[in-house]
Amino acid sequence: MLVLLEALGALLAFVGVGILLGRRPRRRQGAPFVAAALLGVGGVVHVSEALEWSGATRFTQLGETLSVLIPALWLFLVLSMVRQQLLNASRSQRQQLELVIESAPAAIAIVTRDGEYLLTNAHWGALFHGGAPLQGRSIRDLSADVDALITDMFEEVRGAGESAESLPIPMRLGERDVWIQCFASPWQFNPGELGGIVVVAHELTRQVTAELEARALQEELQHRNRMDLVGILASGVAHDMRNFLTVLSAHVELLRFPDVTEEDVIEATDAMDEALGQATHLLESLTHLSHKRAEEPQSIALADFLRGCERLFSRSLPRSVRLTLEIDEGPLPIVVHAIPVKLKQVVLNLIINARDAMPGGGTVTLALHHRTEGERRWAALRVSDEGVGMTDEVKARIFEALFTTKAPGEGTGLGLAIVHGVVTEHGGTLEVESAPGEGTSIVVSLPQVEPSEGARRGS
Amino acid sequence: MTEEREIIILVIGVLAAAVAFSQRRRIARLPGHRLLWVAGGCWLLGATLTVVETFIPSLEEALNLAEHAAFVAHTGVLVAWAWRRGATREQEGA
Repeated sequence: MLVLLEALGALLAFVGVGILLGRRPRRRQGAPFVAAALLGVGGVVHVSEALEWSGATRFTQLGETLSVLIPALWLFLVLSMVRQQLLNASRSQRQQLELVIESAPAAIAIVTRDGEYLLTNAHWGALFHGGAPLQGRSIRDLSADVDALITDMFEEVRGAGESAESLPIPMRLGERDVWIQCFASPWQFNPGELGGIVVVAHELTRQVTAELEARALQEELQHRNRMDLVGILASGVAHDMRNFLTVLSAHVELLRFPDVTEEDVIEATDAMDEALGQATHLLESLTHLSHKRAEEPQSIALADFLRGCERLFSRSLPRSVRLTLEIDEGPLPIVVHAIPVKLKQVVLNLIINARDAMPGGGTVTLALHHRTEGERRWAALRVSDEGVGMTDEVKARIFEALFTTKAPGEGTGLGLAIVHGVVTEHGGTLEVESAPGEGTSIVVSLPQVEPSEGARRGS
Repeated sequence: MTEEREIIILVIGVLAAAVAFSQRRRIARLPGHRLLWVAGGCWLLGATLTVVETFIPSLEEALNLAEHAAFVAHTGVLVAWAWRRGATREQEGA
């Protein structure tokens, strides 16, 4: 009975060896070989046991000696399977990391603290190394243009141990001009010990180009709108210029009199000087509006600025429309930080809109006062008319580009859209109060700044 | 000498079982891991019975068949594990 049992054991063991070795296990996998050895030794022990029980005692020693190996092989089997499991887990984690990095919509490089590449994705290779293999290369092998951005950032993160971010920067990569923005952050295995740095680079060429084009288009539209304003102002300015010329002509005639005294000459030249000064100022205001060159923002004292706008514009309004100015400054002048020509454009566009809303005439009021919201102080500039007013539907759309309620050929639908763009650009807000038949008030709120000596006076 | 050898075999076997138990979560991810536990258990049973028989000769006759059956079962289950492992690998395309 025992002989048969042991013979069965031996048979099973050798079949097991065959199964394990017949499957051609992959290299670096120890478990199948250890298991095959375990079964092989077991098979020999079973054979020796079978022989022993059948009376051949000389095999007893062999079986007993070999049986010592079996628990040791079990120990090896368990250890090799655990090792294999660990290897698989680590391989799978790296594969997952590679997959995640590869599918990220940005160029990513994981580098050691010495700048050697540990892991990069295809975006990185294509963007910065022209698709060349990166095996054994360093982040310092980048081209000079890129080097200035990424290597400096790498050194900054390595020194400070904190994340850093760059602004979009233009650079030349191969034959292409691109805009790149970089982010870098440190990674560490042990707290406080820098393991390396993760660098992420975004190519923003399309976005930046589109933004630049949109900004150029906006500037162009704003300039065209200013040219329209110049056209509107021209008739009023021409009227004023005629007055100045009349003054000059009268005094020239006066100076031609034979009995002109020295006092008369002084008086006449003073009057001519004043008229010339006013004419020059008026022309400067007009040409300032038509300039295309970019202007820097500056501190502007709004009260004087609005007085200048009133002077410039009141002559261009029809006789039936009156422009009044109400300034309630309080103890301190109201000063804002703005681009003068754009601010003038806002005021003039609002006045033109108010004028057009009153075909039968009326009063356009330009009012300035303080407004406080928490700790912030705002300059509130209100342009009101006594015109036809607006329905809620019209009110909701007045700042849309190309939206107009004027007859074809009378309005471009850009004026208020430009007002909205400029006010937003200056960190301000717009409010509209209007009802059909009750006129319209548009309030422009701009953040106030501390008054400075250099605050621009007038326009 | 025989007693000492049997005890050494059992001690190494228990050590292997202890290591396996400490790594049970990792082993649980392997294909056919339950069969491995059964095979190891059969072997430990056989080794324990051998030690008992060595130290209490009066029980030898009663336990002999069980001891041999445990070792043969150990071999059989290990073969089943090898078969199962191979089948799983083939299924995974490994």
